[in-house]
Amino acid sequence: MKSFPIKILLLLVIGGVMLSACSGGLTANSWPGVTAGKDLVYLSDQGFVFGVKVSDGSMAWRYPADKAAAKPFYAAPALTDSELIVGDYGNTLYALDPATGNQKWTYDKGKSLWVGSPQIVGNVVLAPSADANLYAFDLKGQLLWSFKTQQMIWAQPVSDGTLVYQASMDHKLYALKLSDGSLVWSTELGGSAISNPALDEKGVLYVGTLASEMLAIDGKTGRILWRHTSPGTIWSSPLVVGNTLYYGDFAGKASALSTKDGSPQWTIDLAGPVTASAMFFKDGLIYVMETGDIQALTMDGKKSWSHTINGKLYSTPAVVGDRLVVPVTQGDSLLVALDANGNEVWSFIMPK
Amino acid sequence: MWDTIIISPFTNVLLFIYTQVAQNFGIAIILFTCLIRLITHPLMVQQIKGAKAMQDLQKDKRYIEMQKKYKGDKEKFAQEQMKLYQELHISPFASCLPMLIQFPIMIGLYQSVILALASTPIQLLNLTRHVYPSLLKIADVIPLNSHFLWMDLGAPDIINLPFLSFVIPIPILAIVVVITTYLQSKMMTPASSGNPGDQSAMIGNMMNIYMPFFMGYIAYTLASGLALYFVASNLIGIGQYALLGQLNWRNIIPGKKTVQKSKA
Repeated sequence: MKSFPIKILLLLVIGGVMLSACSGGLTANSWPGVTAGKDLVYLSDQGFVFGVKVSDGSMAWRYPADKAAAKPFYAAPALTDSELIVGDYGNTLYALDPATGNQKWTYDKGKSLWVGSPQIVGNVVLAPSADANLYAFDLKGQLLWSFKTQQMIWAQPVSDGTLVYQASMDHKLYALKLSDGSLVWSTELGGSAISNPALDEKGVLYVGTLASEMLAIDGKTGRILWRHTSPGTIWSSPLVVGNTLYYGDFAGKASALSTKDGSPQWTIDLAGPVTASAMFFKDGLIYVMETGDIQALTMDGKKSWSHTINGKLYSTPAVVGDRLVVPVTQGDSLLVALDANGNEVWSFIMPK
Repeated sequence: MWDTIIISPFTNVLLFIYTQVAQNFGIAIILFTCLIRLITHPLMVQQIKGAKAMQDLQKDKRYIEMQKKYKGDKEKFAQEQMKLYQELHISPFASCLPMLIQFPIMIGLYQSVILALASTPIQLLNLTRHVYPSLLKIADVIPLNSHFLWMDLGAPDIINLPFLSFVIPIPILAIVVVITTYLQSKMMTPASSGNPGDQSAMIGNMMNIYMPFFMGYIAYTLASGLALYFVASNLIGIGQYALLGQLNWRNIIPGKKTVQKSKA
């Protein structure tokens, strides 16, 4: 029995070590992001930013090159001819050379994760941070201005060249001047917006929220033009083609609404929940689902081909020429490319 | 199964309380702790009875004679000890049961706090799956306000002294956890039986030393929401013992030890 106290002590030590292995704060992990270039697609996933050749899915470059220096990259990068801008979950924003992956500059004064993708408007880099700020930089990484909201920002900003529209998790959509970040208007959405609004040529914004609503908002005044209740929560940006808006929701529905008044055009059942945006591909629509299913639809909602991938599909795919490139979570591959008929052309797996 | 029985109910109760207290997550954790303590109060009463029974056993003539008789034969002593436990309807684990019950609660609460404080899209997705739609509206709850006083409840608590030009991180809450755990252990330790062979007293003394540092280490390394739970739980525990008249205030005064008076 003399050893009993020692046994208790050992148990406490083992228990303490096991509990502390649960990590000090919140574990940073999420679903990947992909951006289409001309010859390369750029993938943020598994601790790296990859430049992957569209032609055959081979890796052109990886940042950081050293596997031991991996950083938590998940947000889809923003791309111009000379800059690839991407943030990580370690609070640092990077500018890379799109052709080589070489680092150009960094910004490490952000106070939280870079969950949302940046946006490049002319010579201005707009980067939304989970520290509730939208930051604006020049192409050399000099901070121009910042605008603070009330909560995390996960949505990519959109711009018409004069105004910047930023949705925040604080249930609001903000319109700011691109030149100096000053507030023009803000509108209460009634729920958190995970993804960026879509902006049409008439200057109307369309945004989905976790309150299961799709809203249309006048870009000049912030006035809500109409709102439509969805069967499930909306995690992605809507796709606007002509006078119709297309989106999927977490109840597993694909819906089309009229942009004029939000009246439903059609709704169909999909195989699983949707968090990614619908894509326009080969005169039709593509929806990807958490179940690993990819469903092609005609523009009037009829199902055409479908394909199932091993893994979960949370991220919006990229269209590059006649290839649909799909990022995969928890699957055998990181990226899968399909042709116009849904056949797999190549897959990109984690390099050794 | 763990999700269904523990995580989802804990998360929903925590978030429900959060919506009722002006979306203050720190207050929600404290009130949730009160609720847990209230539900486990009968176990605490059982623990006190069990500890008292073990204390009384130390003074029992039969026990004292048994210790002398089987001094060199541990196996025989253990057998006779168990017989005596059964005869007197004493469970040697009764005093440990509340602590054992606390561990899954602690783990469940920690996981619920981390789940509620989703900081990435995939974590948020996981949270929405645990929410009972009949009880909570996602739109009203998300995103959670994780700030309470100086703390970010989803991160370990470290405060930097602003008036210094260099950084000294001070884990204030972890220090408070160590102090309150020590105070709770000392004030809730029953009076010593005076029997030098009293093993439960020996174990208790050891726990009074190691447990505060163990809990402080956990509070230091994990999210401060859990540390807040520890502090609240310790203080409420002290309050419960005081209401039951079981607090030994003298135990915290250096040099003074309470010793049970032996019956003549």
